Amino acid sequence: MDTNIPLTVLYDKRCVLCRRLRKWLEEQPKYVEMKFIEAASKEACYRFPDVDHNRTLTELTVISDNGWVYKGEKAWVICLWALQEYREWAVTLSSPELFPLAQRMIMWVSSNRFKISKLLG
Amino acid sequence: MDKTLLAYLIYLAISIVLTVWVAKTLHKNGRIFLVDVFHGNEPLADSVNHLLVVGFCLINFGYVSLALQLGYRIESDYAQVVEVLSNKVGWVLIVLGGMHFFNLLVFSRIRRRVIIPELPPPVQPDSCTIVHG
Repeated sequence: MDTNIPLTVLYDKRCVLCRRLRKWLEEQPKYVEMKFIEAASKEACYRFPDVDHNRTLTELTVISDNGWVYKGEKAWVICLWALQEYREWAVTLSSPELFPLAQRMIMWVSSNRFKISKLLG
Repeated sequence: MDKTLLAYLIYLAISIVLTVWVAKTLHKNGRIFLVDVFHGNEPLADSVNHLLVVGFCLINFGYVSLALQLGYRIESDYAQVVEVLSNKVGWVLIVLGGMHFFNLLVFSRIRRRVIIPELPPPVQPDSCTIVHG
């Protein structure tokens, strides 16, 4: 089964941290093609009509071209998995021992992203 | 027999036997590992394995050869022959051990380069949706 199906990242354009992460992700060498679409934008609503677009503004959402939806911490892991340098990290982070810790960290960053964005300027 | 020459000959014999033994171990066990990494492509695994072992032998024999010279003659008793031998062979063992770990590192790098791109997504999707164009 080919798992390297292109991914679309729905990111929150209002948040500086999200924009920086998008830029960082764009610069990384990848195993999987990644597209970036502003969350809840017209394009996002057109491409993914069944997705709850208000929710994509509160949690990172990644959708593969064959329709698999990854939300929150899973979306972060799948973004790392798409990168050549971080695929092993993604697998390590998803282990039963580390995933709860990764979940807590990601939830903390997500809920404080506007505060972090302020610090980033 | 001259004690210095005796020390040299024993040193060479021990070093050669040790190097050949480690090289054989590496060759035997490395092959299984490489065949798995290269998905059963035995000619490729054998080729890489052989090249690694050749490099391993060249470096070790090179070291054994360079470290042979004592720089003085052994004039005293046989105890000094044993002391000299233990020192020289000890260094050979350390170099062999270092090279062996270096080879393991090479094997694990090869494994990573081949295996990692094929790792499937580590998390299951939350749901499935319709995608337009």
